[in-house]
Amino acid sequence: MFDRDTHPAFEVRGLTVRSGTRTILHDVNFDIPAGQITGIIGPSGAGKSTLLRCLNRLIDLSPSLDVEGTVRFAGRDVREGVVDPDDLRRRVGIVFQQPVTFPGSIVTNVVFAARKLGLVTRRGESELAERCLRDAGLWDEVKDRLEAPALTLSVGQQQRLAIARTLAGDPEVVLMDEPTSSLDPRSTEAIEQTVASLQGKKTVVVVTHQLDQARRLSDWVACICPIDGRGELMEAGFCCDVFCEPLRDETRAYLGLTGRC
Amino acid sequence: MKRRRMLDRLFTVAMAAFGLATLCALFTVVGIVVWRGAGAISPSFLLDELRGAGADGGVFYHIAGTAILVATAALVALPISIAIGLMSHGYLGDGRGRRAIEAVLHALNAVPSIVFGLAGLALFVNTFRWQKSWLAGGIVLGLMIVPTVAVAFLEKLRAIPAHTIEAASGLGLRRSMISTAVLLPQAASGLVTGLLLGLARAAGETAPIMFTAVIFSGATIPHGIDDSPVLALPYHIFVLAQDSFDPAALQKAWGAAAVLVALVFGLAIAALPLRLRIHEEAKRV
Repeated sequence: MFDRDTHPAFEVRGLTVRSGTRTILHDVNFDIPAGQITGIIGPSGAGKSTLLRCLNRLIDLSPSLDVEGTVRFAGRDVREGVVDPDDLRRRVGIVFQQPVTFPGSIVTNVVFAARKLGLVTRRGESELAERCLRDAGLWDEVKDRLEAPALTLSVGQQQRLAIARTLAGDPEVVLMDEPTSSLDPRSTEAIEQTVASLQGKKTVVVVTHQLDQARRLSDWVACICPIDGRGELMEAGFCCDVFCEPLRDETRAYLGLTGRC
Repeated sequence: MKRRRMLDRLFTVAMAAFGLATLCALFTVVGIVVWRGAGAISPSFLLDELRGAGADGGVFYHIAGTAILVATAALVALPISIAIGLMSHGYLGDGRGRRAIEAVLHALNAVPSIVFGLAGLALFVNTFRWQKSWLAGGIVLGLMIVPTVAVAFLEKLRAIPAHTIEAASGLGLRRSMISTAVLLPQAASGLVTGLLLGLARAAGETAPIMFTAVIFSGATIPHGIDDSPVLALPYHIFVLAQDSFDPAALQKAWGAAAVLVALVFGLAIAALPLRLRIHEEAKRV
């Protein structure tokens, strides 16, 4: 499916998620290429965020959900007993729809997890903070007020701060759950630039409702649609293939709302 | 429209009246204590030791004893309450265990203080053979205020948005790290508020310490654990008010009550900078 040089970062097989008797995701099978940007698109309620949370086992925080199937990352099923979920989440970072800031300054927020996890020495903190803020495209805007409270930043800046904080943990994969849905166009553009700059350096998986954004950013796209109330993978493939020549009627119907080739 | 406006005004007036009545009650109680006790307050009353069965001398060792008991209670209640809060919120989820802990805390909060006193008597005096000991009194008071502190802490923990905990988990932090780096700092204001409420209650309690820690006279600063009683303001007031027919002693009891009220207010004022700082930090979240 991928180019010859590309190998999968994740292999999702038979993934089904249930909440009691309700099936949220049904029998999802697809691969996520390493080092590329994968967009996950689909209507609201299709289970895109649930799928994302299965990749780093954040779904474990919702004990009412039952998960079946396998998600292989780095050659292992993430739900195997030997896999430490906290270590997995450090390697597979996530950025949420709403930015979360922790108490303290901008720089404290950037190195928050790296400091707690012992990934950086006290002396190396400023260097790490600068590098991650540059990678997140925020450095120029905050370099003169690094000790200011993080909450003084705009929501768009807080979202980039969240990206910087995730990058500070040096994850191999960055998951993004609708990272620009609550942002203005300028902030959205800044975040998109940040995501684009990660191409080739990290595996990035972006859940988005914005089809134009998915088309602009993604190398690879997976489309999930609700069928009889449960989310099913319609198709996954190269971005241009899914957008221009969708195989399934459901994908065509979904893209037909706004998607043009 | 007119009726709605009238109802709104009526509601506002009723709320203001209830608020005013509460404030009046507080000021009346404090006013009476200060008014009746002011005559007894003097430097010698604060710095001298008790003489003449309470009719003469001061309450220095009563203040010291009360401070020792309250400080010990804080040292006992604080770690237990933190552990209960973090265990309940960080580890037990929304399940049966958490509900059981909260039910037990609320039940313990309703247990009369005399029951804690009797339990302390059975454990420390009768079983451990400590006789009367400041440590026994401090532990009993500490356990008595645990529900107050823990419930206030839990309320604040519950107010932390789920996405904050999710964000910390998403960074790969272990539950213990989330507890210490996210939950504790963000719920610290609840802990301090609960502790102040609890200590204010502990400072004024007589029943839990009368069997375990305090005597009426003859104690100074304790040097050991067993058979090391202290003097305490609430017990002093209790004995003088109940048993003394000497007007001078009763005047001293009012003075001691005024000192006790001042201690409680002093405690709240001393903690004010800490509460403000925690509040400011919490606002930044």
